[in-house]
Formats: sequence, C-alpha cells, structure tokens
Amino acid sequence: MNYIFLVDCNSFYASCEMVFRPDLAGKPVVVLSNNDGFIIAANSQAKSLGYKTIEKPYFMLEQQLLKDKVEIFSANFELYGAISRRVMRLLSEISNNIEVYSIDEAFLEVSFNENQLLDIAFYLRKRILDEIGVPVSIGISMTKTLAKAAMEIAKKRREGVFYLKPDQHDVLSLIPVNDVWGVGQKYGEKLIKKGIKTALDLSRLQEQWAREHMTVVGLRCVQELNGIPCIKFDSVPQTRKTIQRSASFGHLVFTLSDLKKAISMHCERAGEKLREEKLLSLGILVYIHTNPHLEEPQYSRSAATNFAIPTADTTTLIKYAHKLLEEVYLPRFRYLKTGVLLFDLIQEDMAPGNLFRQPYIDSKEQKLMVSLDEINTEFGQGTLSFASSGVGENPNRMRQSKRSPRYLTRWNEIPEVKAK
Amino acid sequence: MEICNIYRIDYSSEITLELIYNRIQAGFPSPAEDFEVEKINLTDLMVKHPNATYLMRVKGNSMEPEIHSGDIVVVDRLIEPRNGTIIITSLDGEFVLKRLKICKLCVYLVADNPNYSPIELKKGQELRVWGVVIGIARVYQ
Repeated sequence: MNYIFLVDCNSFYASCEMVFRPDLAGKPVVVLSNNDGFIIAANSQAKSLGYKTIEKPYFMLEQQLLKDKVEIFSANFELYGAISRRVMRLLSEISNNIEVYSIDEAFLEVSFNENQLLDIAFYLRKRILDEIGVPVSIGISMTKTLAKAAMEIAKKRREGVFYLKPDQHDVLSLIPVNDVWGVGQKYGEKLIKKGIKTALDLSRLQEQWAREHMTVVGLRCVQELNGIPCIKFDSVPQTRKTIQRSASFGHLVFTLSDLKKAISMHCERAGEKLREEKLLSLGILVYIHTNPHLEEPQYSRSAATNFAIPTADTTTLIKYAHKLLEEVYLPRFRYLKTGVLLFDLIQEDMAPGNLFRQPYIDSKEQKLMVSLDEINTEFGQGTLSFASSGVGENPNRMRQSKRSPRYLTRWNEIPEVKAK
Repeated sequence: MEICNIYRIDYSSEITLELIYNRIQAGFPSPAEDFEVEKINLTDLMVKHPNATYLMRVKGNSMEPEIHSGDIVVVDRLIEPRNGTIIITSLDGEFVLKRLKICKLCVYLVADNPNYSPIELKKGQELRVWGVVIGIARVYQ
C-alpha cells in the first residue's frame, strides 16, 4: 500500500540557528527577513512569548524583544539552504519518490505496511534530529491533502507525528475548511457561507457540486479528502517561472534616487540568480509600496515591460527597472518596500534569435557578467557592484546586522570547538 | 504581458558538426581512456556519512599532542561514541573537544594534554554528545 509522508521542519530558520549554538537551547529565538524588516521565524519559546511571524515591523518590536531577552538573527539563507539540502538528502534515502515542496517541507511516497508507518516516522524524526539537529513533524496519510491535514495535528502533538486514516471523522471535523490544502481564501469564505465549515463537511460534498462551484480544484479536494490520490507527485523540480528580489527598507524612504539605488541592488541579485540557473529573462516588473501598518497616505503601484532580447545582463535589467520606477514613482509618499520581478524565464540554450540584434549569449555583455560573477563568488557578494546601486556606505545595502556565521558553506566561518 | 515574434534558432546541425570534428582531431584513442574515471580525493577518505558530517575549527591546546589549535576536525554525528573516542560535547553553552573514557563505575571527559584535569561525570548526570571526531585536517601553508 502506498502512503504519503509530509515532513515539515519545525520553525525551520530558528531551528537552523540553534544547531551550532548549544547555548541557545531552551531560549526564545527569532529570525528577521532580509534587511531586518519583519520576524519570519520564531521558535516555540518565542511563540509562547507572543511573537508571531510577519506581524509588525521589527523596529516596532525591537525594545520588547530586548526586554524579553529574545535572541535575534538576521536571515542567513546560505545556512538554511545548506541544512535544507541535508534534510532532503536524508529523506531521499527513505524514498525515491520525493517532492521538495519548499525549503523546509517535502512529500515522500512510501510503500510500507500500515502497522510500520509510525515506527518509520519516529525513526526518520530521530535521524534528522541526531544527524542534522533540526526537529521535524510528520503527517501521514493516503493523499497529499490528507497528509497536510495530518500535519496540522502532528504539529500540535509532543511526539510530532500523526497518521490520519481517511475515515477518521472525529479528526476531520476539527479542521476548519480554509485550512484544507487547496481551499484557501478564495473558496473558504464561499464554503463557510454555504455551511461547509470543516474538512469533514467538505469531504461529504457531492463531487458534481464541488466541480460546479469550485472547478476541478474543488473536485480534487473532495476526492483527496476521501483518500483518492489525485494531486500528482512532482518529483522533478520545474523550471523556475519567476525570480523576485525585494526588501523592506530599514527606514522609510521617499526620494526617487534612494529607490533607484535599492532597485539597482535588487537587479544585481536577480541577475546573479538568473545566470546561476542559466536562465534568460524576457520580462521585468517593478513595484513600490508604502507601509500599510502606518496611518498615513498609502500608495502602491507596479509596472512591467519586455526586453528587446532575452537577457541576463545586469546593466540591461537596471536600465529597464529605472525606467519603470520613474513611471510608477510619486513624490510625497514614504515608501517601505520596493522590489523587482523577472518573469517569462527561458533556458539559456532555448533563447530565440533576432535577426537585427546580437543575442545575449556570447555577447560582450555576457562575458562581462561571467567575470563579475566570478569575482563576487571568489571575494564575496557585492565586492564588485554597479555604481547605480550606490557605492561605499549605502544605507540600502542589505542590513544583516545580526547574521550568524555561514557555518556550512564558508571556510572562515565554520563553527569553533574549544580545546580547554 | 505579450511578447511578439519569438523565433527559435535550430542549433542542432552545428553541434553535430562540432562533435564529428573533435572526433577526427582526436586521432588515436588514448590507451588510458578507460581508466580516467577513477579519481581519488580526500573527502572520500575522510567522510563516511556526508550528510551527518561537519567541520569545526579547534581553538586551544587541551588535546595536544594529538590535535593542535587551528586544526580542522571532521565530526560525524552518526557514529556511536565509544571508550577512547574524541567527541564534541557542549559545556556551559560552548562546543568542547574531549576524549571519552568509560570505566566500570563512571565516565570521564579527559584532555590529552596533562595540564588539564579530567571531568568526572556522576551517575545520573547527562552527557550530550554532539558528534564524534573521525579525523583531522591540518594545512601547513
């Protein structure tokens, strides 16, 4: 019999920070987003003090965090990525059929006897904790949607594991309908209005009705809740569809030149990512917005355009991004955030040709980008950067004042052990 | 967002030509061709369980003469600690390097350097082993 395991790392970023810091055991820990904008992860101790993710901007919480003696970290994605790869590698020893769903979550398809399921889950959990040092929760069932529901229960249990049988009505009746995977905001409100409040109610719907009112998405939900697998396993990661780089400012900005500097920097990072993944971009979107948490005039706008030829050249990205920014920018607002999104990405080797323009591949721009990336890889991100993103003491450079060492990926930052 | 006029150039013929050209140029096949795949590297030698292996830099001289300050220790978190193995444990919130000595009645954490006194663990006292040292790396220059 085939079963689905959903493995999810508990407060992943905070847990990663604790792996190499034995002094933090039992203490509250939070991790801040890029540029120290918001809390993006809180361990259970921090949660019990009332800290939630993405609620209030960090600068509003700073004093309270210090008073509560909460350990604060700037995001260290290089470390989280390295630990995530270890977790996923370990999981792929258990099953060939693994779908990495996010940095801290994966679905596994396994075929075991029902009476072995819990033992295997506990074994997996112990191994990940012993070898990698990160606690995980595991939800088990027959379909992905049910495994997601099982996870909701597993997270609330001390042992962190829960096996949900498709006919376990007592459990399904406890799960609110908007928490069912795939339902979301869009259908959630609609369903509640019709008196369908829990996962159990949803599972009892006529398939015909679900299809009519919620399209094929709803039909799949109903079938999956009844133990019929119909969401395919995506074991081969799809080619990336977009690349986004954005950050909240540490302080609110209102001049176009400050925004331009920030957007240049995002273009640099987005360009690096494009080239790293051997992709070219056909379209670019730029957005800006004010701080919705403040009671002051609000504004948000975005604009998009296409490049003349598919490109991965940072100079081109910056040129277009600045034009778009000029289009959307209005003075007299105080901006919290700006970002750039590259879309319509294609593989380098699939690049369409253009009779009248030199393609990006093999152009002098590409050669320049290759050298730029080599230098920045060798000497650290931002060693060589574009003048338009500001040189030297730029307040818009990523604020990562409390970033931990990149313990697993940099020779000069590996953990220290005392011989004393 | 619409994009017009996307053409795809077919590179396949060029690639085939290049491959044939390389083969002609190669002339005689290398008699060593079949042996080139086997490579040796230090990682294979030192790392038994890549997923559970961590590198740490040593600071201090309590494990002299075996391990020097500045050495890199290869730490395996899968291997069970035994009598005589060097382990990483945490004392007062710090990672510390010690040799494990298990006697009939108690357990000691000892230093190789006689200037440091051993720590005796009493019955019921918990010892958390973070990992077992399975090798060291030292670069002279």
